[in-house]
Amino acid sequence: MEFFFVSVLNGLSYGLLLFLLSAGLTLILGIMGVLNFAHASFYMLGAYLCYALAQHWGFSAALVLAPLLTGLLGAGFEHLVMRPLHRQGHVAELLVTFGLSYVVLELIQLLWGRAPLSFSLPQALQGTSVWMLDLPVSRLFIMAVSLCVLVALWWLLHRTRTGLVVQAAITHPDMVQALGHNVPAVRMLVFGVGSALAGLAGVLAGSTFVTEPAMAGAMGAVVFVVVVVGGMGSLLGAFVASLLVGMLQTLALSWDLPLGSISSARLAPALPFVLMVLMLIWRPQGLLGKQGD
Amino acid sequence: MRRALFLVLLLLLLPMWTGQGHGLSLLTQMGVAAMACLSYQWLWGQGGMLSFGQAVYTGAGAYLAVHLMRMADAGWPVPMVLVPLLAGLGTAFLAWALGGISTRRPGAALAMITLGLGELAWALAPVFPSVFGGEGGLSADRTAGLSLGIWQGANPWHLYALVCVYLLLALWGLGKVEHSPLGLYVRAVREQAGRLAHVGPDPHRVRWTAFVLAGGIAGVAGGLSAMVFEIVTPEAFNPVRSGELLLFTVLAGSRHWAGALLGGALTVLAHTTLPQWTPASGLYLGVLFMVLVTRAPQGLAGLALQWWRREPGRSLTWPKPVACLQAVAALGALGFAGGLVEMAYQYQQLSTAGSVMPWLGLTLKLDQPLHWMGMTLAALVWAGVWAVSSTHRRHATKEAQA
Repeated sequence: MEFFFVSVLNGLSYGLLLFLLSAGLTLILGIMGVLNFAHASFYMLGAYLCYALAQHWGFSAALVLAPLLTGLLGAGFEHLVMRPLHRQGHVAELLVTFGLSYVVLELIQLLWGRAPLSFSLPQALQGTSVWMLDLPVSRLFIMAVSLCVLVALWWLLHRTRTGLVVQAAITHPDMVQALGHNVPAVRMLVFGVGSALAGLAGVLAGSTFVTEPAMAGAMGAVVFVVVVVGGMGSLLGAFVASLLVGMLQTLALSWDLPLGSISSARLAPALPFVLMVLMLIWRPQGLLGKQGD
Repeated sequence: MRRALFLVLLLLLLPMWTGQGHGLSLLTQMGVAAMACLSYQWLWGQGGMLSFGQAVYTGAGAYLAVHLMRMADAGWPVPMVLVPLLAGLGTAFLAWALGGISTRRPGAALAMITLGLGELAWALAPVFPSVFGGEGGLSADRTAGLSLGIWQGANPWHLYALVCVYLLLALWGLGKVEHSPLGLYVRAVREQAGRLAHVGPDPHRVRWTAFVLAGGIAGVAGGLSAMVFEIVTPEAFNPVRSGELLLFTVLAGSRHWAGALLGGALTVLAHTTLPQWTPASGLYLGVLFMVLVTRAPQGLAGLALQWWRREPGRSLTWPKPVACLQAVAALGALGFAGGLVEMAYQYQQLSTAGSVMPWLGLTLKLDQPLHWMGMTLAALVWAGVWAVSSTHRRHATKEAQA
């Protein structure tokens, strides 16, 4: 029973981490109509920036500064590269983010090398047992930080004027522009906030698991699965799908069921994609997506 | 007709220039990569479908071919020259099975679904060692099987000829298809799917058909690669390969057949020769890709074609001094910025590579901050000159137009 409980909590923390990433991706997809292939690169950038900043100013400062810096870089990229491209259509924008993912990967390998970094959490977050459970404190830390940020995001979107404008700009950009709001600035804001969220997820994941140049590729595809399964452009759908994928992968790893000659742990990396294919056959628009989108 | 003659001549002359051995082997690999680029060109350049999982089909073709070759090794009467074709047909069937869900919606949905299927294949391949051979993959011998007359697998010239024949056939066939009703439908779906749906054919079915054709050609490319390398590992499904296929096809130009040949050549060079010249080749290619996507979506082949077909009246004027200054400044900025990147890469391996680096006639010392600052300053100055001269030119053009 306790083992089950710990596995569920582990899955929950991984799922919340996934949602930190997919929330930004979904918002960017909604407001810009662009699939941001560089989203996972900002995630990786967050982890590496945190590593670099933590060496000088300590972990707690890096925890705040690295996501902010990632967000600024994201906003700058939107302003300098994406905005002039907006007239040329979504394909050019998508391709340029794809190119950026290559460039970021190369730059990170140039600055920090190809080997994984030895980078770990401060002592206070390194215990293994909480309340007599065999749950690492770091997982609890991930859950706490993600939940705080997500509540803040929800409040920002649903309880402030800025959030109102952002939501309106997703569905009716021309009307919002005509009413005197600066839609290009809203796009930059959303891209920046989305990148900052990705950077925060990178800080959490990089310090808890591993910081290496392959981390973007490993995470990027799973986040796309979350967006497809949840329904493209639906935040709530992305939330449900994140938890679903997080649980599925963690439970398959920790239970290790034998399925014929193959154990479920070997199948764990493939499970999100199996889920995606099944979802596409059963419900092509995703869990909470709109029909005929 | 002129184009066919030019192509045959090119494919005949190139190996005479490189000669047998390493050069010929590189050319053969380039032909195989060009075939894969051709498949992507049809899918993206004609169909407007941006697939991020085309390695599923090149990989499947490679595995089908390697299984056929193993059957031939075991004594089955398999004609070796037809192995890529059979692999292509089998892969087309796979593309038909997966194409239904892949092509239901275009754009971002298609990109994500193909990416997901690519990851699925990559994750599942090592789980079934009986089919995919586990980590080590499967190997086979191309000299076995029916030789069908004169073709001999042991001869590298015969292998090159086989790749060339398949490449020419694919170019000819795709050229025919592009001008057929299917080609028109495919382009119509790319531009105006909604309107085409009202006229008649279902856009989903058109996309699906195009996807199957692209999958088949990718399968032939995979089959050829299996014959060239005689070994296939699950690495064939690595999503990085799908990304590279997109990168090099778009970089080289996706609307003209010359782009596929150039893309194939670049793919092989990026893995063999370029890393020997500079460790930063991946970075340069990525930046070049971003610049081309934003400034010249027609790609390198498209740019070359534009220059080739430029209006005769415009080409005869001498370039203005400002334009010359702009070009020199751009070269200067690129030269110094590239030098900085190279310095940074060598700085990573300071202990093995040493602290002295020659660059365009300069001798740079990596342990002296002054050299770093000098390079940065030079790059910035040239970039500034470039910015000023290009603004000046833009204003001049505007005034001339007014």
